[in-house]
Amino acid sequence: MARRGTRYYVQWAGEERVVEIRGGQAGLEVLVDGTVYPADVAAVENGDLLNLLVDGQSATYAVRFEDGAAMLSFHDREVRVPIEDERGRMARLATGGSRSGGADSEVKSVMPGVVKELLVAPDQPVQAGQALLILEAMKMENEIRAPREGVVERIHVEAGQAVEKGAQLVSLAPL
Amino acid sequence: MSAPRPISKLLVANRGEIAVRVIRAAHEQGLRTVAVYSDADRTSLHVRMAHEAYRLGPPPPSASYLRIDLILEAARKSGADAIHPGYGFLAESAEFVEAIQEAGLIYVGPPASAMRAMGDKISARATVETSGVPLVPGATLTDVSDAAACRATADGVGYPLLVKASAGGGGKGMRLVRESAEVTGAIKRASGEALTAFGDGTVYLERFIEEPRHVEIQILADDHGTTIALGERECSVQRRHQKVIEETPSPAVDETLRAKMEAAAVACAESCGYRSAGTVEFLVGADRAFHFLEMNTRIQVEHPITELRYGVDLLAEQLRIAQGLPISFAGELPTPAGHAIEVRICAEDADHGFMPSTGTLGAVHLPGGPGVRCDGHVHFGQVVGLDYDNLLLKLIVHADSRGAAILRMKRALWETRLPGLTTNIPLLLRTLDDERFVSGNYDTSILDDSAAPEPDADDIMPVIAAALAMHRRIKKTHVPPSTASTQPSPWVAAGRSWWRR
Repeated sequence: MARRGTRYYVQWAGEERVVEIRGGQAGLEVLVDGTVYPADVAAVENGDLLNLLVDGQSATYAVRFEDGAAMLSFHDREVRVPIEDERGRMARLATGGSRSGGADSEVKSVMPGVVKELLVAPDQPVQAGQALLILEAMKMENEIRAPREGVVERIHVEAGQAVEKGAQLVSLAPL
Repeated sequence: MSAPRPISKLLVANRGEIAVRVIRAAHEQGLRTVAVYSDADRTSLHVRMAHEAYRLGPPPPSASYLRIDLILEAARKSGADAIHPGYGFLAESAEFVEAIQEAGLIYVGPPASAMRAMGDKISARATVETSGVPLVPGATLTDVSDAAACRATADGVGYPLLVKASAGGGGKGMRLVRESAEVTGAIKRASGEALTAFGDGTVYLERFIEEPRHVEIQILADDHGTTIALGERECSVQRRHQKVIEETPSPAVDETLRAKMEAAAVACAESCGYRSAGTVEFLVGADRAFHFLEMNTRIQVEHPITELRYGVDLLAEQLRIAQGLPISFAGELPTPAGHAIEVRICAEDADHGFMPSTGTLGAVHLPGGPGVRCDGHVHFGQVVGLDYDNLLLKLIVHADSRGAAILRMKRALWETRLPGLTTNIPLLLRTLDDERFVSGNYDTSILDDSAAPEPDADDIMPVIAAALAMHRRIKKTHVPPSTASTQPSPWVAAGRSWWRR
C-alpha cells in the first residue's frame, strides 16, 4: 500500500491538476491526477536554476513565487502557474476566498514611476485595453490599460504622484 | 604609419555594454583605458575592465553620464588624451565635442560641425536635400502652445504621421497619429516627454510610410579623403520604435538597391564633412522606394553584424581615424560574406506592454560554440534597476546563409540563461520562428500582434515543475540548518516569505 504523499493543486490551461509527490531520500515519485511520472529535480548554478527530468525529458528553469503562483522561466518561455499546497488550500476554503478571485479587477503598477495624467474618472465604463492613465518611467510615458472591461470603481492615485512597483492604481468593478 | 595625433589613454564616457565594447577595442590596440561611473555602476563590468575608474555622481544621467564638466575632470585627473562617447548620453552632443577639443583632447567621433548639421532632423534634411537624397515629408514645431497652429502644420505634413522629439532618439517621445483630431494631444505629450528626457520640448512631425522597412547604411570616413559604405543593416523588427533584431544583408535589398543606397549614404556623409563611423537611416517602402530618415553621428548598437559580415572592427577603425590614420582597408574594400543577425536581450516583460523588469541577476549563462558573439555587461549579482536603458546583452551570430544564421541564433538564445530577471528571450525566439521573419517578407509591424502561446493542457512539464519547486521550498524549511544549502539566493528568500505568510 502506497503511503500518501504531499499534494499540490495546480492551475494549468484552465484546469485544476492535482500533483502528489511521494518519497524522499531515494528519489521522488510524482503523480499528476493519479498518473505516475518518473521525475527528478536537481538544483544547478548555485541554486538559481532547477533542472527537471520527466520521463527523460529535460527542462531547466528559474522559479519565483508571487501572489499564489509560481513564475516559471524556461529556456523559451515564462509562464505563471497558480499553485497551492494543502495547508494553503484549507486556509483559503475556511475563509471562503475564491482562487485568484478578482485578480484583474485591481490595476497595479508593474514598476516604479510617476503618474503623469489620469485618463478616466470614477464610475466611467471602460473597454478591455482602454488606456486608464499615463505612467512615466524610464523616461517613457507608458499607457496603463484596462485588463478587462468594467466600470472604474476607484482611482487610488492622482496626477504627479510617485508610485512604487505593485502600487494600486485603479479598481475596476464588473459592468 | 605613425599616427599624426597618437592616443595612449582613452576615457570611455559611457556605461553598459557599449562601454565594455569600447574598452575591448582599446585594449586590443594596446591603449590604457579609463572608465567613469555613477553610484549605480560602482560594481559594473566596465569599471572592473578598465585600467582606471573615476566616480561621476549619483545615478540620474543628469548628475553623472551627462555631466560634461565631471567627465572632463576625470580625463584631466587620469591624463587621458582621448574620449569615446559610445552611443546615447553625450554621443550626439556637439557641445561635448567642442568642450573636449577646447581641453586639448581628441574626440573619437565626427567633428562638431557634422554633428550639428546631421544631429538635428531639421538641419539634416536641409543638408541632404541638396545632395539629391530622397526625403520623407516633415515639419518642426518649436512652440506647441498654439493648438490650432500645431494642427495646421500637422495637416500640411499629411496623415498618418509620427510625432517625435527633435533632439535625441531611441523612440523617446514618439507617437503615431492617424487622424487630424488626435494630433494636438499627441504633440502635447511628446513635447512634455522630450522636455523631460532632453531638456528641449521641440517636436518633429513626419509622414508615416506604410509597411515600411527600416534599412540603414554603415559608413566610414577618414581625414585622407576616403568615405566608404559597408552595406546595409535591416532593422525592421522593432517594438515601440526601438530595434530588437537586426540582420545583414537585408532580405529586401538587392545589389542594385544596395548600390543606390550606399551612394546616397556616402553623398550624405560628404555633404556634412563627416569623419569616423556613422550610419544613414532610410525607410524603404513596399514599392522599394527609399527615403532618408536621419543620420546617426556615432557608433550604432547594431554595428557588430556589419563587423561579422565584412570582417572589420568598426571601433578599431574609429580609433585609427581619430588618430589621423587612414581607414585600414581603404585601398581594398572587404568582401562581404555570409549572413549576420543580432538580437537585443532586454530586461522587460514583452507579454505585458514591454514594461521594464528589475531584479538581481543570478548565475548568468552565456552561449558559446561556433559563430556566436556576446556583447554585454551582465554578471552574477548584478542589480538591474530603472536608472538606465534596459539592454542587457546583444547576441550576434554569423553563418554561411540566412537560414543557418537563424538556426544558430535560436540555439544561442536557447543556451542563454539570465535567472532573476524577466527578459524578451521568449519574444525573440518566437519572432525567429515567425513565418514572416523566416520568409524575409516582414516590415516594422511584425511584433505588433506577437503574443505568447496559450498554455497546452497536454504539456505536463510546467505542472510538475511548479509542484516540485514548491515541494523543495517547503521541505528545505524543515531541514536542519547544518544540512541546508549554504546561501539561499534572493528568489529562494522571496519564495519563503511568500510561503510563510
